[in-house]
Parts: sequence; structure tokens; C-alpha cells
Amino acid sequence: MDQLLSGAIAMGFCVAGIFFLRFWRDTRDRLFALFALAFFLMAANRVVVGVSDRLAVQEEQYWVRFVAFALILVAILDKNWTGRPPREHG
Amino acid sequence: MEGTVYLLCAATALACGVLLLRGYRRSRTRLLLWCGLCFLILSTENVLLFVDLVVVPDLDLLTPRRALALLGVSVLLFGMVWDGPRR
Amino acid sequence: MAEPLPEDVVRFLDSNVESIDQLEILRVLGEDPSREWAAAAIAREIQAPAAATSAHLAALRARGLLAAETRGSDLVCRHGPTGADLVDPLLRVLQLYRERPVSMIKHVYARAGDPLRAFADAFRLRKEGG
Repeated sequence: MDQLLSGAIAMGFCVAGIFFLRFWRDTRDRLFALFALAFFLMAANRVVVGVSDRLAVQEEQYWVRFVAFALILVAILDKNWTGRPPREHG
Repeated sequence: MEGTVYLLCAATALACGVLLLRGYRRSRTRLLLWCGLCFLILSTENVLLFVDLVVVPDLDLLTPRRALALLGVSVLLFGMVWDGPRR
Repeated sequence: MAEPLPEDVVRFLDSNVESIDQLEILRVLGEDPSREWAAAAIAREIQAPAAATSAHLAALRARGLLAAETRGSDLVCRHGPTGADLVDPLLRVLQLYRERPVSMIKHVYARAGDPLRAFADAFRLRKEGG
């Protein structure tokens, strides 16, 4: 059961990443590219955690998740502090 | 401190959720509502992860954690499909 | 087919105005620069819900497009761009809004309806340059 849930969650994050990739294609806004990468990493993290032995939880696995969220933070900082004019949307 | 990473994830997700819901309040764009809710749910899931592994290691919170993660990502996907860009 | 809006006006709108309500707020404040408005009064004037109006006022204030102070529990605003680089563009935009309201509304509306733009804008914490 847990494997089913973990698989569904991983797939969900993967699809969300694909959506963000498409948003990036449509807008060329770097924010969406970073979000896409972050969500793909979250999906990878779910797969790693789901596949590993539950009883041997290793904190290292969750650093991948933190990198994913850190990418989102980078996206937010980039949106606010690059000093470039906002992109026009086509 | 052990478990810092889970709280860092929770804090980042919370910040994203708050920013998106604030944006929703201003623009009434529904996509932001769903994305904001997703991040709040994921933030809660990370807090629950911290609680599960650090605070009450004897208690197994796996099922509520999975349920929350599934709920969060489902809300996100629903929002992207239903209220995403039109063209 | 009407001619497109001037590029500097478009830039100003895209950076600073998220919705028609915000444009209307700026118009109302600009018509009488010395007059002060309470948030509820502006909401009535532009026929928008009070809560959304307050949120718009906060956003416009953060971008330095109006002068505001809190008196008691009320937010009181008046026209007053804070920043030399905003004074002229704002006046130009308001002038153009008087002359070509339909074109301006169409432009803001088209942008306001774009959910991806709104998503990206949600993460903007500071005011952008004009």
C-alpha cells in the first residue's frame, strides 16, 4: 500500500514538473524552469525514499528534498534581486 | 540539530504558500489558490515528517504523511489542469 | 485597428499595475492629488469590494505609487508617487488613461487574466523599476 502511495506521489510531482516545464516554454520565465527542476528533484526524492528500507531512514535522503526547496528559494531571490527589467510575455 | 532539514523544507514551503495565497488575494487568479494550498499542505507534511522522526520516533506517522503529500500534489495538479493557462 | 500603446506606458503598466481596479485607484487619486481617501471610500468610488481594494492599496503603496498612512484602523491614501522616477511615468499613464481608456483597460485586462504572469508576480517582493 505504501509503495502504491509513494509511487502515486512521485508521479504527481513528476507531472507537476512537466507542467512547470511547459509554463517555462510558454513564458521563458526562469522562475518556472527552476520550479520544474525543483519538482523533478522532489519526485526523485520520493522514489529514493520509497525504494529504500523504511526502517533505515537516513537523513541524507532528505537533503535532496531540501535542495529542491532551496531551488525554489533561489527562484524567488532571482525574481527579486537580479536587477533586470521584467520580461515581456509573448 | 537533528531534523533541521525537515524544518527548513517546511519553512520554504510555507513561504511559497503564503506568497501565492497573498497573490491570489490580490489578483483572484485561481491557479494561485491551488498552488498556495499545495505548498501549505506540503509544509504541514514536512512538519509531520519532523514530528514523526524526531519528536515521537516510537509513533508511526507514515500514513498521514503519505496522505498529506498525495493531497498536496493532487491539489496542485488539479489547479494546473483546471485553472492553468488557456492557450 | 487602433495603434498600440506607447512602449514606456506598457512597461509601466506591466511592472506596476496588476488589475483594472488598481488602474482605477490611481485614476481616482490622481484626479485630485491633494485629496485624501480612506480605503472604504475608494472602494465605493471604484465599485470594488473593500477587502480587495485594501489589498490593492497595499500593493500600490509597496511599489511607491501612492502616499498612505495608517490613522487608527484606517488606511488613508492620496496621490503621491514616492520616487522621482515614478512621477512622470505615472502622470503620463494617467493622461493616456483619460485619452484612451479602452485601450488601456484592454491591455491591463489581457495581462491580468494571464495566470502564469500572476503566478510569477506573486513572488515579487519589491517594487520593480519603471
